Amino acid sequence: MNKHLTLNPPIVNACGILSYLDVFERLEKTGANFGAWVPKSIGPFEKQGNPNPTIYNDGNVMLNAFALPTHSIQSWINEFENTKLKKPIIGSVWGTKPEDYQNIIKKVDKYVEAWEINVSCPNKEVGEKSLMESMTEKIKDIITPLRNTTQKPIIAKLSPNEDYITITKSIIDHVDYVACGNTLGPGLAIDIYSKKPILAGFAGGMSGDAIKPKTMKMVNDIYKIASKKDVKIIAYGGISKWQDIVEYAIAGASIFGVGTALMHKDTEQITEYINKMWTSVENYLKEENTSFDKLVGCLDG
Amino acid sequence: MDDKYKCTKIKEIITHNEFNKTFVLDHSFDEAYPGQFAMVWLPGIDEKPISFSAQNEITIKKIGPFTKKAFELKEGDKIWLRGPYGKGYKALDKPYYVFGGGCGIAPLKFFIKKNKATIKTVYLGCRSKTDILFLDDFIKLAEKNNIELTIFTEDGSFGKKGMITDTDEEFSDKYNYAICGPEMMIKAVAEKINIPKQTYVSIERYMKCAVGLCGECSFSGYRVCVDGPVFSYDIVKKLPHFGSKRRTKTGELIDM
Repeated sequence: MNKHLTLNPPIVNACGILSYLDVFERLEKTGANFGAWVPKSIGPFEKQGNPNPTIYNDGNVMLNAFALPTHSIQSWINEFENTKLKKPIIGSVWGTKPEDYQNIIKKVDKYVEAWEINVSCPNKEVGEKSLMESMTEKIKDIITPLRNTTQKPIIAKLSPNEDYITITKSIIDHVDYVACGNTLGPGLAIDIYSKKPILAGFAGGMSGDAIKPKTMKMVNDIYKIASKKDVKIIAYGGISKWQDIVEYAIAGASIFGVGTALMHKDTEQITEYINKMWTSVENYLKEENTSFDKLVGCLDG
Repeated sequence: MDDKYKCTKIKEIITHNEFNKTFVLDHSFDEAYPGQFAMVWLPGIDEKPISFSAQNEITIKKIGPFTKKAFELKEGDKIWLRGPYGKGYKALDKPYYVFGGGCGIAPLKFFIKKNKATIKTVYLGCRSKTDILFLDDFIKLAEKNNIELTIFTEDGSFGKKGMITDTDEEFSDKYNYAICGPEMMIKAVAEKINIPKQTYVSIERYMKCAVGLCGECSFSGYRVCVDGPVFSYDIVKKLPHFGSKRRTKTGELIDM
């Protein structure tokens, strides 16, 4: 039997967005009704990530190349020890080899309700040889042993850029969720007056409304494999309005991550926005005389 | 809404002293209001949040590699900005007292110029006369608009000798209070005024995205880029990070 989370509502922040426990606490205090919180990925060594600019938003698509700024596991534990968060935390972890993931999960396991395994960050630091390039070959070796490391639900966060069908098939017996997906690309934005790339990291993962059709297809492709194995889907990618959640549910997702859509919103604006989003989904379910469970994966065609 | 850069030229450079320069820009950010900031990009170098000192002006303090590079710029050179960002000083429902220290004086010059008629008193505090940015502008603004101007210098080279908190004025709730400067000065001045609900202060934290996404500039969970940088002191005074903690480039929360 696979282990699944009960999130109320099934909406989370995308990893790397809002990032820190004090930000989540502030949102909880203001009444923002997220179902769980996903802090920034915890990794095997400290790094600053790229210098600025780390994001670029041209109004159609956003690019980011933070390249996993990471602080120490101990300082994460200090934050977890002191948090007053009420909603569950989904830990995110990155590494470069299977042992990295196992070590971090062992140390932090008691503070989280599930683990999102980040094997799909498309960015790297300037001068860094590689971070998560050519992960396709390694993903199975990273994911498979984790059942012996943690009893918590395991979420594999995959990239829309790789052969995700083959990857999914290779790990499907060892996970509870597949998260679809990390940012697309990476893509390149150029400044015409300096003739330089805008992002300090040269290229950056793409997110926002424009990538939604790509991740919608990814969700549906993976749902066809996952649903036979009691594996659920988390959708990330261009969710900005309640209809996007309904679409992703129809395609097969049961949890929904919001990221780029929170851009330019202060704490109160995020609160109003996120609370309205789930209420609107519930209104839709009522109007359509259906339930959320019936909606998931009901795509007719 | 996009976050595209405006590439503009530097029309004029005002050298205040060894550590502070104001860059007057060809482009005016007409929607910018006092207390807001721009992300200023030097391609191939870095990008930092800098406050507006007018709609076509930014004032930079030399503190690290980025600002050192900015100090090499000449009149006519290109500079890239995105913004304006953040919440600035609140609209005026009561006359204001204004308190500026260090390079926090720059955004307050913008504030005073925009709201001349409703500024009652300006206090500036600096180490020495050469540290007082826009001194001539402040003197002229005060004379023309009947604003009381009191300047404290620690070495006594201009105005009164002492700290900005050495004033013996009694503060009343008939006024609002705007403070900009180092966090310790903000704390000292705001505590002295002791009317937190009518006191507005500007907070600085390391910033990456500047659009509320990454969480890097979290100040006890308030994202300075979208929730601030100007906050009511009534909120700030209760926050554990105030005067105490900041996040580094790795995201680690450390003592200030």
